[in-house]
Amino acid sequence: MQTLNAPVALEWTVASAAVAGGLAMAVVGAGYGLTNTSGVGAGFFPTVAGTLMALAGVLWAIQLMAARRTAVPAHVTGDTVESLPPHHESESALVSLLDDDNSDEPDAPDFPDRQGWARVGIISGAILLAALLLPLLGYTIVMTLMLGTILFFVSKRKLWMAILVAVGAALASRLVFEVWLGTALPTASIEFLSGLGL
Amino acid sequence: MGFDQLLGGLATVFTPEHLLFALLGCVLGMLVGVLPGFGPAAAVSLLIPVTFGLDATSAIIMLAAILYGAAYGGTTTAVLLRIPGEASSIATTLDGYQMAKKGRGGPALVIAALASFVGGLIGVIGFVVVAPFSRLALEFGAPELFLVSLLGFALITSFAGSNPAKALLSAAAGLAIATVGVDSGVGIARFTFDMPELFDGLGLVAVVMGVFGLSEVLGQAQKGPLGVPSPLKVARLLPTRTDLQRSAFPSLRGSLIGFFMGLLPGSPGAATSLASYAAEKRISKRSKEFGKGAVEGIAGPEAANNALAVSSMIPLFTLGIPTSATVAIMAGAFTMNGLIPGPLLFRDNPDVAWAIIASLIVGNLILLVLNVPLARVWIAVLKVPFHYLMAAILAFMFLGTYSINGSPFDILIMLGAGILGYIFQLVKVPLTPLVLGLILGPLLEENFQRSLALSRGDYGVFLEGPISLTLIGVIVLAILFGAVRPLIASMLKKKTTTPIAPKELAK
Repeated sequence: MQTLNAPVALEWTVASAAVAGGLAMAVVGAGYGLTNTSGVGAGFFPTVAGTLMALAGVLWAIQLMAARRTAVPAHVTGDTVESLPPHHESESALVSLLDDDNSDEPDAPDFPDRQGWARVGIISGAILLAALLLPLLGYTIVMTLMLGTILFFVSKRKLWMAILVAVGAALASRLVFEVWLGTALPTASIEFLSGLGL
Repeated sequence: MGFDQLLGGLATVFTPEHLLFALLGCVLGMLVGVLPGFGPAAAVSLLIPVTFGLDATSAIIMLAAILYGAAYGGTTTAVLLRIPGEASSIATTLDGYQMAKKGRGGPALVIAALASFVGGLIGVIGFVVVAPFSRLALEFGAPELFLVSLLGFALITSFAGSNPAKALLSAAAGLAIATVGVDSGVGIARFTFDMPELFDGLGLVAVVMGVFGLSEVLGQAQKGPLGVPSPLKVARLLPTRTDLQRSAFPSLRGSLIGFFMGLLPGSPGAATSLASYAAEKRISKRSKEFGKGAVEGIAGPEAANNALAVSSMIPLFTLGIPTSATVAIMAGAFTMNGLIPGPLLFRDNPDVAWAIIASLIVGNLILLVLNVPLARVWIAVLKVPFHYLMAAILAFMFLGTYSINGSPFDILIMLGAGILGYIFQLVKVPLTPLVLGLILGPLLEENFQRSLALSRGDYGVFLEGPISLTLIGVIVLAILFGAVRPLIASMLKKKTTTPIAPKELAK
């Protein structure tokens, strides 16, 4: 039995999530009422959106199954995986207009390795914690911790450099927003910290 | 014709305050546009918070300037670094970088700026000619408006990305996000989980900033600490007379291609600029110079790109339908500032509408002047290691999202949307339909509900009259064409494409 590689496994996960999420949305949406006296109810559009999402997930899963059936492993054919340029140049204006590779979508990032996932996780976790701790610790401390963590763990800066840049950025942004733009940034709800002006 | 109103719009823009905001928008847009991966959509979404607190006209003028600034910034990196800041600058990398390698980076940038200006100007002239037709759209009732929204939706979903199932998923996700909050029809709270923060729905700015901004940062950050790029020098600035002569007609042709392509919902800038490049290569007597530093290969695509940027706003101004991610974000900005994009804008706020159109000329003029002198500044910016730029961008996004409502909840929405956008990019689900679903969802729902309320629940209301029937016919065609497009493209490609040597692009 073939084992799934990580990108295909992620595609299966997203397609499955789309089916499950779409169905859940359609069911909950229908509960808001599909019709009312003046036409459609509040649940009509959520049900449509959920159904479309589930349908898209099913179509995608069918494509994945078909691709699995027809795929020939690279080592069998002797092909090496090449890094092809993301966009092609064509002699024909018409082909340029129809070609899928010429869409305005951002180029997909390479699939991350374990370290790549860790970096994405650290940044996301740092933002999550910063948002949750903002009312408690105030802007200056939270921003310093968030940037310091990212610079130290993701950018691999030395600890003193990460702290220095994080403190500098937190204070400078506070100055810009509060003094020049007149936007009040939250201070800590812990008395000791708010007493220090943080 | 609307040229009198355009002059009135120019008079509005030529106030010190508006000029300052246009200038600021251009510079900020260029600054973000030169950052790798940050195109106009990401730049506008990232910088929307900068316009909070401004009046509606100033805010939109500034955002339009940011949009153009980001496009120019993308051109600078395309020429000097061979990194297209956005997909539509890809054609410019082919000859722009080759010119820069020969020490002619300055002339390449000037030609790109001049061609962009010509494209923008022709785009605005076309805009003025077409604008009066928006009066026709005033005759549209709720059923026609629903069908027009549905058409925009069908076209974008059909044209976005290579996989219709993935485009459909993205669009459905956008629609789903749009349904969160209190329903406008009957006032039922949907998917709010009794959280008051969700009663008004998921904030557009937070979602867009996450989907286009944070997802890009995550995509870059996963690679770990990166080296500093080494851009080529600008050297001599001014193009020769021959350069100007050779780029005149390609600029005009590119402008026309771009203008008409922009009128069609769903035509991406990258495809249009590459189409212009292909057309110039075919027409030119010096076709062998293409790919080795031909000015025509810069002038045509850049003019096409900018004319398209202007004309793609026409469906938004005349019908209220955004046709690309960038225009969708602009539509959101209109709504945030209390303006209703569409024909009502010309009727209810003509001063604002024409000031915005006029600002497109002024913004392009500012960029024409600033583009080359500032190129050296952007090169200095690009020499700042990316991890410091990333920290600054994350701090800005954190602050910008917080400042929307003064609530950390919006930061969580931005984070969720960013992770969703990142995962979608990894599995190659296009992001444009998601944003369009988000913007068009409420329009679709409102007009659908109104139509059925007016017809007392009779679905036949959508089939009455020639306009509705034509729109339905076009929607069906769009869906069918979208489904067979990948097939047609691959068949044509097999016949006509000359393979470009991978080493040529990978150099």
